[in-house]
Amino acid sequence: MTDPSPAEDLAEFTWLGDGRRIAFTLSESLYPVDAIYGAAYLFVDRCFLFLTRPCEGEVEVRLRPKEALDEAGLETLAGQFANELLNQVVRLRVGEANATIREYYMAKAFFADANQASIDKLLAELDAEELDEDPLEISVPWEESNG
Amino acid sequence: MADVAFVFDRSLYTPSGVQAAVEAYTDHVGAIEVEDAPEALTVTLRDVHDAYRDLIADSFANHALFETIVHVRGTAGEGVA
Repeated sequence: MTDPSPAEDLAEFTWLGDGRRIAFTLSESLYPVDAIYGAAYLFVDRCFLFLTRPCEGEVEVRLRPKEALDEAGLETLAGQFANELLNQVVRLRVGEANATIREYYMAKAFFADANQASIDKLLAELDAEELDEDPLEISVPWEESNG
Repeated sequence: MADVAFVFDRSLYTPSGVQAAVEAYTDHVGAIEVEDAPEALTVTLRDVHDAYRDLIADSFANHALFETIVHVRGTAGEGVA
């Protein structure tokens, strides 16, 4: 058994292609199905997609671009999909991490009346102000004060 | 004319998503058969025109996936008190 070369170490995301379509297998431990759905949703207008489950814990994604692409185009497509997968995973993780505080803010916004009380207080202050006083005669028309 | 069969894994496709695709493509192929099994839904498109076989097959699968995603996301908030 030989040690893998650095290049093999980096070959984490591999895909197969037949010149018309590409396919790659994803581990659900790295890419949850919700993240795969999120990426698929953004590519469904550019590609035909099909998901299969080759074995437990893995999802195979097959992509065929709606417009014919050469080998370089297919490679770019695979890279873009892989990037979007990572983006979706991050969104999912951030959403999960912030779920509690998000729910707290929603509950606070819907059920607390502290904000309403402060608005009422400001309105009461405005009502209480002496709006009749006009020492600078701002409300007096220019014609009257200078005419 | 040819037949095209798909196996939609239940852990990846919702029955409602697949059913929506079946309803959308009923008029575009000879017939559509759905075999319901615990693990997967097998859909067979009958008498698909040879000239459009790949296009209709891929479009059908795309539609099923799209409807599945819409359904899954639509029900994501259910159960939240």
